[in-house]
Amino acid sequence: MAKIISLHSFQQGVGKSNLTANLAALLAAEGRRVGVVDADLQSPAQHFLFGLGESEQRRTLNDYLWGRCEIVESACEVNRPRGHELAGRVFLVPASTDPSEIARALREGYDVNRLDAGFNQLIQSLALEVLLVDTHAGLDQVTLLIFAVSDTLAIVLRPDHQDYQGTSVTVDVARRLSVPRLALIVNKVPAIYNAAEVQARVEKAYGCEVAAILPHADEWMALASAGLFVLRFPGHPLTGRLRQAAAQLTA
Amino acid sequence: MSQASHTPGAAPPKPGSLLVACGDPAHRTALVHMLEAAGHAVSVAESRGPSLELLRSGKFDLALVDVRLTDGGLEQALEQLRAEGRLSQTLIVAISAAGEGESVARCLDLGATDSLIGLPDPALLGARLRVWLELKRWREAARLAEQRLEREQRRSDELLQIVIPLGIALSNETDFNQMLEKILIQAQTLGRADAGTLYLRTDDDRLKFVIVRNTSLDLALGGTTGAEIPFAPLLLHDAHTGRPNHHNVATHAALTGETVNIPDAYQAEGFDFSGTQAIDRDTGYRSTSFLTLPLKDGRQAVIGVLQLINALDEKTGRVVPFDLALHPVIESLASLAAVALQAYIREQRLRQQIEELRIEIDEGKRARRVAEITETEYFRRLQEKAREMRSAHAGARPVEPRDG
Repeated sequence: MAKIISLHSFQQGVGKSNLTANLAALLAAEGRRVGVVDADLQSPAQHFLFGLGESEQRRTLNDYLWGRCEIVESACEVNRPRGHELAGRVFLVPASTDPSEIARALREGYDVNRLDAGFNQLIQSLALEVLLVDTHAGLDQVTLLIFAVSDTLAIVLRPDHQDYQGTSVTVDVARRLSVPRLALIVNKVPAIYNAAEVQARVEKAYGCEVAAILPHADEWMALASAGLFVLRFPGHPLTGRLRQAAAQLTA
Repeated sequence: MSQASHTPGAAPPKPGSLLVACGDPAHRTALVHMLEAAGHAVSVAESRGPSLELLRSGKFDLALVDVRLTDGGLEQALEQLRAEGRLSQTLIVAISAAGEGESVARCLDLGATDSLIGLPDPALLGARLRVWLELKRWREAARLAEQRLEREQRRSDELLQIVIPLGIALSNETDFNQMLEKILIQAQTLGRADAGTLYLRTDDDRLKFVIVRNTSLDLALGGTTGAEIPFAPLLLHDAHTGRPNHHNVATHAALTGETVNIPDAYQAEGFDFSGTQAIDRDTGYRSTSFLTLPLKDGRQAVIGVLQLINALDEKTGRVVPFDLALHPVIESLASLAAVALQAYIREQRLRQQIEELRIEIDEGKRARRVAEITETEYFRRLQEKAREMRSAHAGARPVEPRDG
């Protein structure tokens, strides 16, 4: 029952890439086989979050999309991200950090059928239980493609007016693409807010499931991309919330 | 008595300030001579009227008064002093000739401390004087101790009966204006102040008048009255130079965090009371004594200022300076008030932030943006492909579709 779960946000800097990597780590820590595809071809981040050195990257998602390799060849196992041992397995398909590759992805886009086929090959040959896809912020054509092939779309937003408005557009567009499941993750919520109150308001405003209300945490901000928060702070309340979110999204 | 004079810490016998009231010139002169020779300061009176005047002044340690003083004698003088409540302020010794025992006895019953019959031997007089003056000093010490005790008692009563209940009432108060009024009114009660002002510190670094009350002018502005306060907020720092404003006593208290007690603003130097005094000219009021306290929250940050004006004497109702002994009690009240205010302000901010959480979506804008994306050939093709792929996956990669 493998599931493709894409994480998206209307604006950049909301914490989508970080959440993707942390959710993957939590699922793998429970012994699951997890795939992570960095489909944010314009601003890739997953290789860095999982502590993958530039030299270790042989093949990327870009190589697969331009027909230079099979998708499985671009996947590399990151079972010990930054020295943390995981019970399960994480396979990462990174995106290229080469500027000309980034430019090409922007210029040409790619074929939706090839992307869909790639995801399915990855799931089957690596026997994945969950495939997490990190997308680019905003609603460009490539991102819409990913919506079209996702089983679940998790939209990450911050509690601010611009995100509220942007998220309403994303939810509407995703529904028109018949995404089977939509879930919202509200990130960087000021600690003084009552989580239940925020959840009720967000659910009501968008008429969709809320997977998590994540309070702002100084440790999260301080760690930034220098590691995986849930592995560094396994006992932190925020890690607890993320664990619940991971369980809910894969249920 | 010699025991008393040797008590550690007791002052050694000192020259006293004495009054000799005696109608008999020979007796009087002899007594004065002996007393002055012993180093005492002596005043004299010949009849009851002037003697009473001098006794009322309270400036004597001891008065030697002839039982046969003209115009009614010592007995009447004692009765009069007792009626006036002044009997305890001077020690009175009845002097008499031999054979006046009955009169002397009555004087002792009426409040004279001792008696002296005839003209005594100077050494004996000196010894008895030491005893009397020692007694006077002990009485004085006892009186001061009693006063101190009374003050302490009052302070503890005020803490128990006013400050602590007020703290509880404030923490339960949900109406901000009621809270402000309670603070000011209770502070006025504690300080027996005719008038008072409560200021709050604003985000733009000013002290804003929030409540103004004046009992004798029957004036109440701000708070629940709804009456606007026409006074401009006080700047804590100069708008141009940024220098702290220590000119006003209220801003000074806010800036330093210290309580300021001004006995008479019309005599005070160092503070600018021109604003208050301009209002005084209009109203005919006279703002004289001021007690100004900063309101400090739990972190010692000044969030406002409490100012009491014109302490009224408990007995006479006249304007007097604020009692220094009042400071600790009223400062406790100020602390409780500040904590309650701070809690209220925090709650208001929280409410405001929760209000900001209101999710407002501009539906027109949303629809336009969605149309821009979806009303394209690309999107229509994508929709079709998505449908195809999903139905293809239904067999290959089983997924339980949910409502989307």
